[in-house]
Amino acid sequence: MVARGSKKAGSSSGGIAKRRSAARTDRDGDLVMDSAAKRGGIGKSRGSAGKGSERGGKSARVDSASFQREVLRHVASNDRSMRNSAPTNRGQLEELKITGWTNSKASNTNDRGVGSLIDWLEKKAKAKSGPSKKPVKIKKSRVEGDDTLIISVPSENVPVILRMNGFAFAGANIEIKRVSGEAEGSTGSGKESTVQMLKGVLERRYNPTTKLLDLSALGQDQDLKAAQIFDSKSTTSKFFPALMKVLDQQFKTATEKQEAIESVSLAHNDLPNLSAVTTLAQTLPQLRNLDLSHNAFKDTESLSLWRRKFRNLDHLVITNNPLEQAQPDYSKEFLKWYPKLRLLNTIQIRTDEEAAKGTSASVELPFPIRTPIFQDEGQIAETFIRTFFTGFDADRPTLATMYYDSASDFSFAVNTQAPRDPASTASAPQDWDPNAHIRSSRNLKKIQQLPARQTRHFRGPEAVAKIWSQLPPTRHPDLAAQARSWLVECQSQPGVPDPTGQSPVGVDGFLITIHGEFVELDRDSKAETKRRSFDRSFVIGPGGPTGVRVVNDMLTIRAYGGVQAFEPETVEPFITTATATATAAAGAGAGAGSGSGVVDATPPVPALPPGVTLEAAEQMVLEVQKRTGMTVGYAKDCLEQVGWVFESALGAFEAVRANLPPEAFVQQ
Amino acid sequence: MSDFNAIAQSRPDRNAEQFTEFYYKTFDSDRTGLMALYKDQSMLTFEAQPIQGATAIIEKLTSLPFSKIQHEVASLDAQPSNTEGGILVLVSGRLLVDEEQRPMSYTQAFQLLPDGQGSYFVFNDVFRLVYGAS
Repeated sequence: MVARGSKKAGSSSGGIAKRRSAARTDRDGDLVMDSAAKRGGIGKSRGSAGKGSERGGKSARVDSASFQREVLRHVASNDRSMRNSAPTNRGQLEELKITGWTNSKASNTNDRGVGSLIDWLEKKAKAKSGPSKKPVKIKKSRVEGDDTLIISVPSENVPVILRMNGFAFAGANIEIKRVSGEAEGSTGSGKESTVQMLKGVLERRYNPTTKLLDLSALGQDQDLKAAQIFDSKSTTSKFFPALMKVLDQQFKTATEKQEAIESVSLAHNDLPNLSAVTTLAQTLPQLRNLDLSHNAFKDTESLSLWRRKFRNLDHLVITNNPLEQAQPDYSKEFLKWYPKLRLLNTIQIRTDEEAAKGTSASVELPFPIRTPIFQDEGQIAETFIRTFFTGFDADRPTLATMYYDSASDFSFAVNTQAPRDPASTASAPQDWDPNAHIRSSRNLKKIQQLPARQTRHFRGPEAVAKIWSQLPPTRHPDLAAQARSWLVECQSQPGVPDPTGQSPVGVDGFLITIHGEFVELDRDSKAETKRRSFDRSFVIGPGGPTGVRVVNDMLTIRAYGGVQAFEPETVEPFITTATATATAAAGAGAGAGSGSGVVDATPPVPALPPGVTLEAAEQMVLEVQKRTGMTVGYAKDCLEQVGWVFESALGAFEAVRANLPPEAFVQQ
Repeated sequence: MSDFNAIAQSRPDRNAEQFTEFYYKTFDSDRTGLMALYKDQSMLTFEAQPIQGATAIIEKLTSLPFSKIQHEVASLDAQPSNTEGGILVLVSGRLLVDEEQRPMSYTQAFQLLPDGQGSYFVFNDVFRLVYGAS
């Protein structure tokens, strides 16, 4: 028995291969993501942070890209003044005016509560100053008039203290302003200044060399903090879409934008799901590298808003999220979602060739495609299939005597109306040979008379061999090497006639249904003439010299229609050991060399959450389709994005309605 | 069911024709009407999903996500496959779903067995889309 995914096929189907990051330094973007992934360790586990150090600038060995990143990071997290339009010198004291505190319960002390107010401000500010928890010191304070406290703090502490504007101190809401008078924050600043602020954030967080937009740790961003962006739910939810809008405005064309930004990091943002940042997929649909590490994603479901987005995503970093523990096989989902995803964290999950090609079915199908069923016993059906198609191409007369006896039936029908594969330029109009194809085609839709039907029904090895000799020579794709061109299913079939007569109720056999393709060859030159698709159904039972006899053999020949319909939605690139032995054996021999396993015996795994049956899901698709007017395919996508919660699907539809292409809707 | 029950068993080719005509006509108008064609030992393999028993099969077929469907049989062939008069039927054709203008190709293999009352039931039914859309 050959293991699923023989060595050759295994490597082409994206077997796991650790990839050294050093090998990638010649690639834009990839390099960035490597360093981003590495950086993920910094701060939590320094030991695993890899070469270099956080202060990469001091290390001569650190490559320039990561050096720049570290500088950028330093700038981003610590020193807003470096690029701020209103620079203040670090360390310089700035005065802030506090009012409203005189109403507090603490104000009936000797100092009217000023001492406890200052302690409270320092403590709160320290707690709010991010993970560093640096102490915030109020250097000077004085009371002016009846109700105004003026404090002096180092300029770098100003934003964090301003964030406490409106906070309740001992039962009284306090107001904090710069002495210069102007209230800070989004509430007080006009639209123009907000746009300027967001532009500043983007400029500061963008590296043109590495084409990285670093939106990591936004909660610690001093500008955003100063603007009190994350203080209220309303501003938090508006922030990211606004940021994306401002980003969009920086580019004249989509191509320009796409070329400028290849990578985005959203690391360290405590994101439990994508609802806050989902607009990234609309703004940067061509993104190649995405860092989502150090967030709070608990499963792939929480990322489902980006399912089927980012069609060119090459590298995804998802480390340090709860899903690693909670859903260890998450890589399967991402493979399914992103047809060109090559690297997941530091692991190569698709070969470069496969990723370049993209491996998702582009055709919209109303039903989930599942991996085929293959119920074999002792490799009987598998051996038969392998031998049969090799023999059919190489030596039909011998094949007929091996498997056909006086009770074996063969007939074929030409389906002249089958649609051609629109994606294939090779599927030129199918001309059918009147002698070879049409004369013996037993299409009961066309052939009405009994005698004509009888002469097109071939029984016994001689008759079978004779009609086979009239059909053009063929070459079928290799079952192992070109497994994706085949769809083979096999089921046990009781009650198959027993020609020996020993078992009047029949014996157990198999019903084998095969869909595939072949090329027809010129009889003399053996040059390829036509490419066709075929469907072939066999009933086989015990008997004959090989132990297997053909009871029925029915062949349909049609125009080449492509193999998109066989592409299972669940791509299984990993060799699983859990596959049942009998079925695995069958799958292997019959050519499941490719990862997609055309005769892959893996039980069907629809991408449905627990508790939702396939039937229920299909019902939901139907209902969503009815109510929204979308096509079945889009309705299904829509439901998938909301985790098959029907109630949410209609809301999700409304949210994206304006952005849907016309083909999303059933044409009137 | 009367027209189907009237099918004579002497001509597997005719039986197959009448069966498929009846089957798709019923499927396209009222899927629940297919109940009479399946029994408890019947098997349906729909896009590789195995289902057994008439009730489960009808449940499956009626829950398919479309409201309107039309089968167009392009090729049909049948062979006797069982000493007691069983028939193996292979169909290929096109499916039009709802308002979708582009048909999908499908193939379907039926194993028909005599029901002992002068008619047939579907013992095995293997459905596959072979191309998404043209």
